[in-house]
Amino acid sequence: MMQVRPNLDYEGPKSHQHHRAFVFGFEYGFLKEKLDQKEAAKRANEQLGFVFDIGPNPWSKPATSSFGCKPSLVKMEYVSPEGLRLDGRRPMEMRQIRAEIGTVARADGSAVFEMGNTKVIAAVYGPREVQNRSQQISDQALVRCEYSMANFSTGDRMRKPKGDRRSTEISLVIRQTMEACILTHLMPRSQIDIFVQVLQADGGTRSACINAATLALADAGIPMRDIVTSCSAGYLNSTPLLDLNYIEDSAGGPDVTVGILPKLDKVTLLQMDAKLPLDIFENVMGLATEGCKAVANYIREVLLENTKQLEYRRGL
Amino acid sequence: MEGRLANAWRLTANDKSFIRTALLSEIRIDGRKPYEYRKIVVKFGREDGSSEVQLGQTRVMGIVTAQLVQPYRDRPKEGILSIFTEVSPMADPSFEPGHPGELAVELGRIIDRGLRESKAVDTESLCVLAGKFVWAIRIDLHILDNGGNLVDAANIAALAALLTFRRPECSLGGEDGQEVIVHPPEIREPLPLIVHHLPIAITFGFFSNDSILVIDPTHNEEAVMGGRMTTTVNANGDICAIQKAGGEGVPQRVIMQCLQLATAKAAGITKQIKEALYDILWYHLLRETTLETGELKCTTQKEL
Repeated sequence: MMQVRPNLDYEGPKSHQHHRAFVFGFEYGFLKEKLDQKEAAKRANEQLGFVFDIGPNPWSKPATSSFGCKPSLVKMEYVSPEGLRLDGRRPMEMRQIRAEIGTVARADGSAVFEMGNTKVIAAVYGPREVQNRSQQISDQALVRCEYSMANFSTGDRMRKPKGDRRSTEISLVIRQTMEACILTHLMPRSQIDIFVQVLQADGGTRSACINAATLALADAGIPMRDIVTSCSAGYLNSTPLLDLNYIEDSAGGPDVTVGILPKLDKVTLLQMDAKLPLDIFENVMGLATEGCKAVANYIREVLLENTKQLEYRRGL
Repeated sequence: MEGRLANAWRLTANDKSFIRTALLSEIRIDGRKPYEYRKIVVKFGREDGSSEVQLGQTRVMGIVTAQLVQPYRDRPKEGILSIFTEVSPMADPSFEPGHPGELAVELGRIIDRGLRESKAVDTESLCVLAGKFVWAIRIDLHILDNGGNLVDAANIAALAALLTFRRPECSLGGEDGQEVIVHPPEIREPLPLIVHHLPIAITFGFFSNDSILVIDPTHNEEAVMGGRMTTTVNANGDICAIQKAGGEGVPQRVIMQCLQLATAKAAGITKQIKEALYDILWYHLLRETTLETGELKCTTQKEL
């Protein structure tokens, strides 16, 4: 099948290109009332070769709120004819991954996981005594999870980081995914808390959270059946794309998030929205699964490195 | 199921092992085969846009209302579709009154994704005055009885309510054409919503033994099963949404098998919904007959 490897030399999106495009968009769109939106889009298109949709996007919202022009009437191209995406990646290329273990000293286990510009921190407390006696389960550990986004994680300051419906759903999803891989029957009457916080959101926050939670659980020494890794994929301009960033995600195309247990080769998490025919879905899911396996390799390397460090410090 | 609260209903160990052993020989405790759906009954209320769906013992009521509001800033030409779910302890004692639990939120979001992201309802036709007035369609789903598989029943209720809903006709008027005049239903016939396709949610339950899966789990089976997956497909073979939120891990081929099964079932359920609509369309037709002359005011009805 396709070889998917995270590109560890990749430096990040070509930010100067973004800036130029937005500058053009601002100039042509905003400057004169007489300039029609279509005109602005046409001129920007001629100059740059593509048009940016100034929509709900972390980089594009200007400081002033009076700007309302959107040169978005031209259809946006997410994969250029040469086969490059908006940030210069190939369709089957993942963003750069970085992980760090042991960042929260107070927690039993913690990790920071970065996928491109998305940065997530996870902390695990447990196994410890159940705080709410009525929720105690006599033969299993109770797993709780809380997902929240920092106010500063998106372009616009978020007003309600927790407690809204999206956060509740993602907390539920992460909890059930981790519950499937933790050997809960080994720790009856105890509680394991997983707290995940998004520090920078650039698409794929769900996947980054699950990967961070896996690392944090491993750091806490909680027995698991297998690590859980997750990655997302989409389908834009008739091309399956791996690891969508925010712009590609908000394009309205399908977004498939897959979480697998790599050694057992089983799918635990699968979420999809927007319409797709069945055969194309199979391709996109296969691509996301390959991405998960690449993440799994990287996570194993990080854990191995961490174990070597621990051995060295203990003088073994 | 909210299995964490003190008043949650729990099955005994005997019951659970009985259900599992029966499934090994492909027998379910209510007599169905593993890939068989329960009987679906769709009823409509007197008002336009209200429906009640019974899926075996599960009952869900759906109501659709519309209001003129200002559109979102980044989508000035599209209407707004929002879904709200109400779960009360009447349906299941493990539901808490007031604050919607995780189950209610997940239910709402699955149906929301199936309807909104797949563009089942045409939101651009809901625009009245770009940037100022659009129709906001609000779907309220009330869970009346939880007999298992709430998502499917609630989805059918939402679709049935959307198909019978009629919004008032409005036109632009005033001096500069910026005022919106909403015509009352007695003056101008209200219009139906434009629904492109019907996304049907179909839920599968996975059990700890490999490759045992059932469609449309009941309450008892939900307490025993290891994982669930809800696929929203339409009769054209497109997959509109999938939700498998953790739980038991399954191999990829089982997922593809589920999707193919779901596509087959979706056609049957779409047909059932449309058949239930024929009766209510007759009612609409009769309603438009003027009483004095006995003639039909309007001869065209939107063909489904």
